[in-house]
Amino acid sequence: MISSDSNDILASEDTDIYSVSEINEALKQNLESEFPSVRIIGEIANFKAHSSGHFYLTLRDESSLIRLVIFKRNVDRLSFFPENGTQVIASGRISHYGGTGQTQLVADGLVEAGRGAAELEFRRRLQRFIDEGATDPEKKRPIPGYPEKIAVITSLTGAVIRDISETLARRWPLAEILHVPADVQGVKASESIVKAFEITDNTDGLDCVILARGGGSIEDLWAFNLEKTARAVSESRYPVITGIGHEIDTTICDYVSDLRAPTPTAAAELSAPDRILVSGEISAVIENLSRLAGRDSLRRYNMLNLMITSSVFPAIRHKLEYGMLQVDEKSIRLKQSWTGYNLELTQTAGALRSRLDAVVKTGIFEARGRLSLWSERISAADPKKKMSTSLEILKRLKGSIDGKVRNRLEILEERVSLRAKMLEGLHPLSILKRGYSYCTSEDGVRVIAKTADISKDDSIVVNFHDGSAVCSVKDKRKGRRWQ
Amino acid sequence: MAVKQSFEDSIERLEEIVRRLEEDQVPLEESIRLYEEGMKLGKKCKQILEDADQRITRLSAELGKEDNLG
Repeated sequence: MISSDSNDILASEDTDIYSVSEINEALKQNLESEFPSVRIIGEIANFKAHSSGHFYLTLRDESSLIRLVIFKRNVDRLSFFPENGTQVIASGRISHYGGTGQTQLVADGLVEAGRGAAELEFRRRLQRFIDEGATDPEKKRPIPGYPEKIAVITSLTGAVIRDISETLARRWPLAEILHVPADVQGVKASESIVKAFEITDNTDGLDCVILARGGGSIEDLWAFNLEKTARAVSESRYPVITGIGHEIDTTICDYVSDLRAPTPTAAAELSAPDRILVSGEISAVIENLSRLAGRDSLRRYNMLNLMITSSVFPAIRHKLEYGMLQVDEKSIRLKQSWTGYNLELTQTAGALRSRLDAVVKTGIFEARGRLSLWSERISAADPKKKMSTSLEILKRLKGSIDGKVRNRLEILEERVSLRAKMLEGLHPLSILKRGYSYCTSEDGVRVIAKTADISKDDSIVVNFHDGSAVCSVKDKRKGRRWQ
Repeated sequence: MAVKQSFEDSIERLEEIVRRLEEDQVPLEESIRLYEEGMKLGKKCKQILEDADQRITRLSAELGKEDNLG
């Protein structure tokens, strides 16, 4: 007999009858289209790392649980190893698996809820600064090229201030360092950094501010992710270079600063140029100046010379000759400054030699000190042999440095003699020898270039290449002789 | 301030002098004046670089307060 209930079920035509597979498939489709991407917060339980490489676990709260699978390819990307009892946020898609009749989360990401929340807060804060435009590239202020005063905000003691000041002492000792001590870790850090920026904002004449802290965990660096700290950086009166933590750490302060350096030492390097390079550039400019000035006067002189000898316009000859005299006068002055410069080059060469000598000596002295240290350490091995090898290296080293000094001197000497040759071509006598002469006042101070410069009965001096004649003016005639 | 002004300005002026000399249109009188000025500036800058000695000062609100109390 069949019960009436059973008859009702069979008789009902309103409801379809699914096979088990059919209903599981229907559930799968519904659930997967409804939850293609979800995040679930809960505590890990029943964690199992399967030999296939997949992770199986359960997420639960006070009254409920859901199964979770993390496939191998996503397991490799997890930033931590799951442990039972840990509060986590899992992300992924909901799936329904007919084989076990179970609904589960196929997770592609898992973060510890504590860290996840912090990360979320980090993103939210960063987004706010991005929206305000504080991270825009065009908002970044340039760091002055030749700084004179650099403020450094970092801890009172420790390696950071020492590394920064040593780096700057080597690269750019011209800059005065103003160390503004601040807590860079712990609950008071943010407030302390904000105060430090108040101090730098109220100091006149700074070129830039370095905000630096050595490496540490993300928690250690947290003060640099706080809104107040980042705002102090972003609103600083002077350009800010941040050097916080290691290369991989990027805090919100780094995002809003004018220049981000990977480490404190790198921040110091970015804050100033290398004085050796700058000095080299200046030397190159000085070289260039001499070349340009020399080229210029030589070119003019040759041009005038050519015009005088080949001119078909006698009318302008007089003018040309006067110009020639002026050039001669200028070239004498030029020669004087060159002589000064050449003298200086020679002195520089001398100074260079003695400095290099000193370097070689110090180097050898230090190397000897190190050698004796080594020899103590290796006395058990074969100290004599090692000593003699090292001494040989030292000898070779000294030889190569000597060679460099000599090379440098030779180059300098060549330059000096080149200049001397150029100057000879500029000598004013070369034109006087060809029959030209020029007149000066009796005291020889003033060049007489036109009739208006003299009066009747004046004594003037006519200068030849081999001497001069004192003459008196008998008469003055307007107009040019050859017209 | 004085050092910075002179150093940075000197470098800029030096560059300007070289540019001017390269122009080819400079009167001789001026080119000699520029040359002499450039040499002087260059030497001065190198001297500044050579002679520089680092100074470190500590600036702090707390120390300031202590000073006032003392």
